Amino acid sequence: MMILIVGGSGCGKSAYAEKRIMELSLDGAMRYYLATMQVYGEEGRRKVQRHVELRKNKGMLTIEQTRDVSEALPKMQEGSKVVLLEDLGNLVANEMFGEDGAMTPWEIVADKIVMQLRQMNSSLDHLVIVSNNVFEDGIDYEEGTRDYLRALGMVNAELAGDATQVVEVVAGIPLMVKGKE
Amino acid sequence: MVLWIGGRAQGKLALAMQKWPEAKILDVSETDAKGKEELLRSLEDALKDERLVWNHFHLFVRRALLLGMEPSEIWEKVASFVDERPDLVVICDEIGNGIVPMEPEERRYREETGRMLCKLAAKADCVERIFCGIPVRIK
Repeated sequence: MMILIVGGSGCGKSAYAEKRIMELSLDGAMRYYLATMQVYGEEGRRKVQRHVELRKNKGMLTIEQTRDVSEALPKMQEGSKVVLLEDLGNLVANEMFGEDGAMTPWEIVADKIVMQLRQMNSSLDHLVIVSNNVFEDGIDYEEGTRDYLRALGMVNAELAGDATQVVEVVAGIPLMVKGKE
Repeated sequence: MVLWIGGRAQGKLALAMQKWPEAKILDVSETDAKGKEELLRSLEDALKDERLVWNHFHLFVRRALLLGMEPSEIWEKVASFVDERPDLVVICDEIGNGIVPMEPEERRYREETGRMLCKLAAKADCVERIFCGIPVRIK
């Protein structure tokens, strides 16, 4: 089963996603946390390390995969597994804006991510994906940001089509947009 | 009348084209109307079409405000347009869920679009919020 969880910053989507992944792995499936955020600097590194330890206590193994998300699969063990991916906003940005300043066209970025996640999902027991609602501020951004919004919007909508459940989290409250909890 | 609201890039137009493939898409943001008469004429011209989807409603409001129309005058036109075409589908971006902008005209644009949406929603038979390509009926 694929679950897509979407919300604004600080809405409680991560905590909700963790709760769902714990429930989905009660049968003893291996739990993985797919971290897509690019970490910068020593301070960022320390922060991440703390979170990695916290998740280890919950029996969750962290795989850092800032791009080419399907490459995370061979890093997992055999047997049943559930994955929490956090988050699509970072993944799209990392795929789109290269370190050398080069920009990949938004359609290519969106297609690649959707394809890789579909492929990965077929090898997993459950996939919980956290994504971001950054589409409602009415700002007329410059072209690069507009393309980023298009790519993330497209990935969200495509995965929402596949997902068994789509959940919008508002002030910590999960609202079922698709499917029943 | 049907009102669709949702953030940008949520697949609203794609969904409308799928649902009403024969519909004409009205998008005032694509005209280069220099005055309000020209802007309103492009709306009135579209009235003749059989099935009409009015896309980017927020950009119409923005343009009308920029051309010096008062909100009451804009609403009067919109309301008469909707009354004439009960089969109309209006699509509008949610633009009000961000930081309130510093620039007065940007604030006004969001505020007036929001107020216009409330009135449109009151008039509508059906209001749906499109989220990640999924319509959620809220009226």
